[in-house]
Amino acid sequence: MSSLEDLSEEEKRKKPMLKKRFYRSQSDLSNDESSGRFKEREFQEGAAFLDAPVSRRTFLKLMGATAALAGASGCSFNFRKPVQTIYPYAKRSEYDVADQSLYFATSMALGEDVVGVLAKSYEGRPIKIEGNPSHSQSLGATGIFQQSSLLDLYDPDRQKNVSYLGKYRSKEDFSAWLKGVSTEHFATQGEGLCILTEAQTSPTFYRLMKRFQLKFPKAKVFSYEPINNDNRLRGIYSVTGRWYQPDYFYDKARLIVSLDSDFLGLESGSLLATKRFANGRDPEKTQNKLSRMYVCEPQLTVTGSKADHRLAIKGLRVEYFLYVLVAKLLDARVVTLPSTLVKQVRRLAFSYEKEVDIDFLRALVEDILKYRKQVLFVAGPRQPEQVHALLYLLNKQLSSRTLHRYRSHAYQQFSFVTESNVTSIRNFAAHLKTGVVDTFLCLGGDPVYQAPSDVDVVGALKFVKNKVHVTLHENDTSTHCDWVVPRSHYLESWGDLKASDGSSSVVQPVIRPLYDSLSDNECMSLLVSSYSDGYRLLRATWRQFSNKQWRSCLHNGVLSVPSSDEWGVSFSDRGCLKALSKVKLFKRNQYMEIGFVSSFLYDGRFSNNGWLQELPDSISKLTWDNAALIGVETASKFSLKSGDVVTLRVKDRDIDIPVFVLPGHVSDSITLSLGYGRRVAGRVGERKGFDVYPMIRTDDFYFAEKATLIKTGDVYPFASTQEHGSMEDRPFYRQANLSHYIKHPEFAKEMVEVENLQSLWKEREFTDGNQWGMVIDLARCTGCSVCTIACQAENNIPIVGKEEVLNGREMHWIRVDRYFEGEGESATAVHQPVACLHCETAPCEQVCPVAATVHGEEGTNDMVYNRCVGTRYCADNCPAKVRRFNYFDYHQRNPQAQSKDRVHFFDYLKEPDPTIQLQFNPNVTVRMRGVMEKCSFCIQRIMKGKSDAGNDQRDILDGEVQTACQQACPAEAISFGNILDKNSEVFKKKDLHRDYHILNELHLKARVSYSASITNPNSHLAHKKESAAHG
Amino acid sequence: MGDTSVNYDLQRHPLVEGGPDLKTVSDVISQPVEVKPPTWWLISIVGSISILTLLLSMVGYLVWEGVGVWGLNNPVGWGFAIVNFVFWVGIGHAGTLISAILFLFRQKWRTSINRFAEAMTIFAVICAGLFPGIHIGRVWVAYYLFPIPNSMWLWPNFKSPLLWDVFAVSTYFTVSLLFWFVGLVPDLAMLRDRSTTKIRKVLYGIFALGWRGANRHWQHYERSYLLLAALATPLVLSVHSIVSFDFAVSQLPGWHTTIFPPYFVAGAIFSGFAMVVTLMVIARELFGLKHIMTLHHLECMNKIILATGMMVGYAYAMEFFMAWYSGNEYEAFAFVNRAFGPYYWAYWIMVSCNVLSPQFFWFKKLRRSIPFMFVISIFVNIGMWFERFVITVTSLHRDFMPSSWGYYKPTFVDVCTFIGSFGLFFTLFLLFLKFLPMIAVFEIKGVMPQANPHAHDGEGHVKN
Amino acid sequence: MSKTRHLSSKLYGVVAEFDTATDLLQAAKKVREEGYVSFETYSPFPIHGMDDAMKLKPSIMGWITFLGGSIGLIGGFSFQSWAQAIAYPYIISGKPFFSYPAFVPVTFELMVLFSAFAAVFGMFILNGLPKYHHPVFESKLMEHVNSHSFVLVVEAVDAKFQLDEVKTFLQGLDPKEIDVIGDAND
Repeated sequence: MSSLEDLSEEEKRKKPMLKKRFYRSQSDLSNDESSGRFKEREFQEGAAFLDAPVSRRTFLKLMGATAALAGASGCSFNFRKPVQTIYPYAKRSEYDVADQSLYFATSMALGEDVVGVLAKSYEGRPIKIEGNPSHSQSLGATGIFQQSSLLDLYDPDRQKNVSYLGKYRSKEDFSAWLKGVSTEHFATQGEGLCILTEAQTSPTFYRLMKRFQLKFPKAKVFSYEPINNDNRLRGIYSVTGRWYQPDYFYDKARLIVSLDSDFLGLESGSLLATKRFANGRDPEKTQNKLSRMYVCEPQLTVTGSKADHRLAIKGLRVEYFLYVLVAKLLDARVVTLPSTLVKQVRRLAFSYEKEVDIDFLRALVEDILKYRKQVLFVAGPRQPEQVHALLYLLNKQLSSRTLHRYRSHAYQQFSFVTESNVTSIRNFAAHLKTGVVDTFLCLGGDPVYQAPSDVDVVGALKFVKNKVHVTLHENDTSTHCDWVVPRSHYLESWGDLKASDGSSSVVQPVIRPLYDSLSDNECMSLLVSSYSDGYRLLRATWRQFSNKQWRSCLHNGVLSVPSSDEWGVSFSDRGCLKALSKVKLFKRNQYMEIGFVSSFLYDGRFSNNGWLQELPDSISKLTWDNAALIGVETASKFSLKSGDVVTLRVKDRDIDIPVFVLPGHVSDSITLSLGYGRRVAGRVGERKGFDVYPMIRTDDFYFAEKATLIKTGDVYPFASTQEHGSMEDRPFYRQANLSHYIKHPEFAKEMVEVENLQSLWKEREFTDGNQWGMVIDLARCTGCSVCTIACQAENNIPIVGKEEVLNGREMHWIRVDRYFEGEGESATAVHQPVACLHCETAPCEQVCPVAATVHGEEGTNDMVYNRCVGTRYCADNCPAKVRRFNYFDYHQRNPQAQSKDRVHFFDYLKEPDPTIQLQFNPNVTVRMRGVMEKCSFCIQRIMKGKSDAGNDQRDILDGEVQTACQQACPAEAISFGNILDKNSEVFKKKDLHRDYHILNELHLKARVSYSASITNPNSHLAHKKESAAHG
Repeated sequence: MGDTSVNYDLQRHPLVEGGPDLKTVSDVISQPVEVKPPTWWLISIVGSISILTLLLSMVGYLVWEGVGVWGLNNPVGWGFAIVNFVFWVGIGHAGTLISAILFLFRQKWRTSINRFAEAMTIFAVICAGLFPGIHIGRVWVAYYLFPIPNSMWLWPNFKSPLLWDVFAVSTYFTVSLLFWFVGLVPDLAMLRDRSTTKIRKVLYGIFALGWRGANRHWQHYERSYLLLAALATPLVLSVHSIVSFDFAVSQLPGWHTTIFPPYFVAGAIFSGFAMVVTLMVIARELFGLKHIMTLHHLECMNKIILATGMMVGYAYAMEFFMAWYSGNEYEAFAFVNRAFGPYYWAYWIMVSCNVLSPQFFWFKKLRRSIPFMFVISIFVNIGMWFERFVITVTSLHRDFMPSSWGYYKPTFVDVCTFIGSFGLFFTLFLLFLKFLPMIAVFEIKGVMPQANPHAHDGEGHVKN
Repeated sequence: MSKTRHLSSKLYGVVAEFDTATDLLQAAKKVREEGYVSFETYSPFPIHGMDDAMKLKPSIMGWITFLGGSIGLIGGFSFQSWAQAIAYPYIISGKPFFSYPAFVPVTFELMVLFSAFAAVFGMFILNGLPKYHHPVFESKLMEHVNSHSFVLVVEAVDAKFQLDEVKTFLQGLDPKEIDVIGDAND
């Protein structure tokens, strides 16, 4: 506590700005850290924590609290307000026009994935992230991580100040200390120095790193990312001798073969991949020349659910399937391999031949022959090096140059980059254990939590004298380090990033650092020379630009274009051969495998991010939890049902985790997603889900063999947003295969017979002005769920917490419905985003007794929050069930909410944390409890568009007004605009044959319609499937 | 005076058995009001007030925390609150029917129970009115529902069934209250005249409005009473029809049904009469009013319970037929889901209580057995509560889009609030029993032989 | 024959108590035939035929109620139409602003409500209620009139009223008891 007191004093002296922005008063400041939580407990009103159910206990607690507070207010109830300082908005930031937002181009790195974004800044605070159209990896789209990174910036649980052994230190203290360290190590050439860093893609960082390595040649640098592309990189290296990063053009391919690759989902580069893939599947864009996709994967992914043919196959067998396939292709003389390889491949293929699904294989081979030069093979990062090596060879021979490019890794000269992450972390621990290291600097990451279980990081750290952790959040590693330094968020620091395609983009701050933080580059600069701020470091890297050029770079956010690809390198089979010869012959014994996948929390770095915690998983629709995903067959074999807790054991490691039964998951296989169950994370993420890192070992890093599964008998409640997986033969999601579509272009409309619906009265015609409408193209949509997050960020939608999701009260305005098709492990899924349909004859409107939901002149179904009394009649009468009710004040019940200063009687209620308040979109009402809410077509954006157009006295241009979901969608599946404008995209979409309305038979006259999905299956396989289905 | 009873039997069962004189009738009926409350009364008032406190604390908790303390969720936006509302309104209707319709049909046997039934109506409507009030998300702006313009001259939406409901229920309450009070005035006057203490004289005097029983008053009074009865009859039908519109006018499968208005009215009479029987059986025991609330009266009511029970059963059957006959898949599913879905138990409780149990009343013996009819009346009340539950919840929890199907589980707050509403009802009812004549004295006298001025052949007279 | 306590000095009328409703009815007939107009009978319940016996005009309650009902009907409907179509029209489910079918339920309810008000308060006004002080209460013969006694009062305001005549005449009707309200000697 004392330290916190002097923190406040320090702050007052040193950082008036800091105080100004983020503290209401000194008392508040001193309470800010730990004691803040006590304060909260005191004012819990019975249910302050998201995971606290409103139980009998809380009720009693509440009654007590109320009485107590009533008493308290009785004696201390005076109208003298606490001392607060106000700051007039006199000095506004540059170019800032009142209530006009500015967009700043910056870019975000996640692992080796770099996405250029535009940060929307309102009165100097970023309130929304959009994609940067001029950035090669974004092209205007964003993913869930980019969207929700905003919440991380404002996360009140961030590391706020430098601390040494838990005591407050200023940034200057740390700089001074680190300088001292670097000078004393200069003598020993940095013998005792060691750096462990997250994947770095910043040219400036590597510039500094070079200088660092010159200055301290003996210093050791390691890099660790639990989610990485090592196998792909090294696989291709093994046959080319070059560190190549592939770049696949899914839009140009006619046949895509994905081997355990979720390239549309959580793999790096998924934004670009999704856009390209969607273009290749668009019946209009391709004139019905759709690409066809075969997917072999253990657990159902969004990629698998978009496949025309999906083979559920255990992750460890995928490579054997490939050998069989290659063997078949060799027989067919469409590929040629060096005889040495052929021998090995045939040897391995033979052992698996009998197991493979022969129809699937035959069809695949047939299609490969048919689409030669337009075939694209892609394998997931979990697949071993030899798979990637073989795929490189196949791609070379079976597809033209336009389908894939290979670019050298920008930083291949750094050994810690090319070294595989597994080796890196192993060596790191070993190096520490030698005891030579006295100063260890950890840039980001959380090795203690994320390292494989056989790498004893905690033990290794004991050998080190000075341990420094530069981190965004306090986490397990920081608790084992003595210096904890706040790491700057990308939205508050200067920097640059290089994407895998070699293009560089700028990282520029949109807000002054909220806390006393350092960026990685600044840390490096401290080591190599004296402190210099991020901007100077950055400018030094890009010296070649004149100030004028520099300004335009900052404006566009792009520093350099993708580097040219390399082609036609002669390959050597040596590496691949070595790998192949190490592969054991396939044995037919029934072992249980465990596969590890990334999650919506990535590797765990987003675990304190409420938006991502509550975002339903694309397939399981789980929120706030990970689970041991198992197939239906496995479930029945062990007589398990969703929620049963099991003990998973592999060799010496075991964890207890509940299972979740998922159709489409292969049997005898378990899928565990990383990133959950953190012990130290923050008020939102702590102990949510289950930590599965203990199951990972360096020797089985992506898959674990021979797992055993024992039912414990405990049951665990899962908060899934969609209990019912079947569509009950109701035509909501409509799709047909290409041939049927060509024969019956109107099939979607014909699926429901809607007799000519007459109205009893003369209905209102919406025939002039802008009439807003939306089309969601199911052929393009992959179900990635970024629309949900984008909407949440744009419209101040609160998170409700696991307990409330269990109660069925999630608040997402646009949800992605998932329906399963088929049985057991061969099942697949379809995804359908559903938001308010904005019916012209809206059922919700006429039942509202207070006219709180009425129709706008422009055809939108509007909610009037301040009029709503909350009868919930509208929600009952909504056939699409898109209306969301504030059963509680979810902003107040957020665990990060803080109790207000006592200004008047009701102010022992809570309010969102001040920093969280900074994120709110000022153009959208923050709803209180007891009111209904729903998708508004982003009415605030419509109004902005209208006022802009009005100012220049013109009509709104098509595409000028974009809804948040539409803008974020990487698949460009959502079109929005004026349905009266013949030239608008939305009009053209609604004009398509495959356009249809759901629940049309209710005469809703909905403004949101769907374009039916078109698949392109192999005729033979499709026929077989049908005949199987029919008899 | 046993001999007198034979002379004038109105070719039916005697409405007042034993033929007491006017004074005795006054004494007997006024007695509970004038003597010290018996122990059982004190015990039960303490009990019901403590249950009422439960209600109040639950409502307080609800208003403080938010509607989330109930089990509602996204598909199921209406739960216990609306179920209880319809349940209580339904019970209320019997009172009006007994006093109004039977009055119009000159069913003289009603006189022994109409005061009783009307009281029940008013208290039931009070309980009913509570629920729509507290079930809204923002109780503090409930007045938006009343025809009060905002500063932009925006009025409520008169196209909304819920607003019709506001008007229907408040009108119903007002009219019932007036009807009841008008009926009370002469009896209050009697109590005023009988009262021995100053305080009683003043209090009863105030509400008696200075009634003197003058014939000119009786003339207007009778006419006014008749008119009120004539108004209450269509009102009671309209009110439950409008309550049913809350469901019928929406387009939810299982709600969107034209049969609802008559079906709801029948159900209301059904449950209401059951409730009257329950209360009467208790009251006549406790107050020894067996000779005024005769077995004959109870039997009449059981017959009505049987008849309305059959109507309700018919409605259940017809709903299913229509669901099948319409060929609408959503409609069909809604009803299959009712009988065999996750809430099948609620449906079958409803059917067995409402359709099967009244069938016993075909037998005169059972119809006239006090304990038996008591049990059946309880069953009917349970069944009718579940009918509303089935209609409200099972229709909502699985409607059009399977993706948003859910399941509704009531929380302890839901349950305690419902229990608490009985506390409110019985507290009011016990106060009524203690402080007001539970039988319309002047009407009883009106149907006694002494009231018949044209039977003046001497013997008919009873000398006071 | 007992004297009552004299609260008001003013003479109000002569009270006669009778045994039964029948006797009261007969008495009322005779009094009317004798030519008295302003007299009143008091009974614990309405006596059939008494109106004819006293030759009273039929009650106008019906018309009052009808008036109230009409106000409710017309007022209710026109109010809704005005509120929805003129005061603040808003688009609801694409329906016309003036969608009269939707106004029927509320109109009906308001009609019933207003007729009920008319019926009740009309009756109170016609009966001059509430009226907490009335001379007849001074007579102890009135004590049981709401319980079991039947009383006839010939009022002094009657043109034909002569205290002694009235007394003797009422004696002739064989009442149980006779009493004078107010000061007899003025």
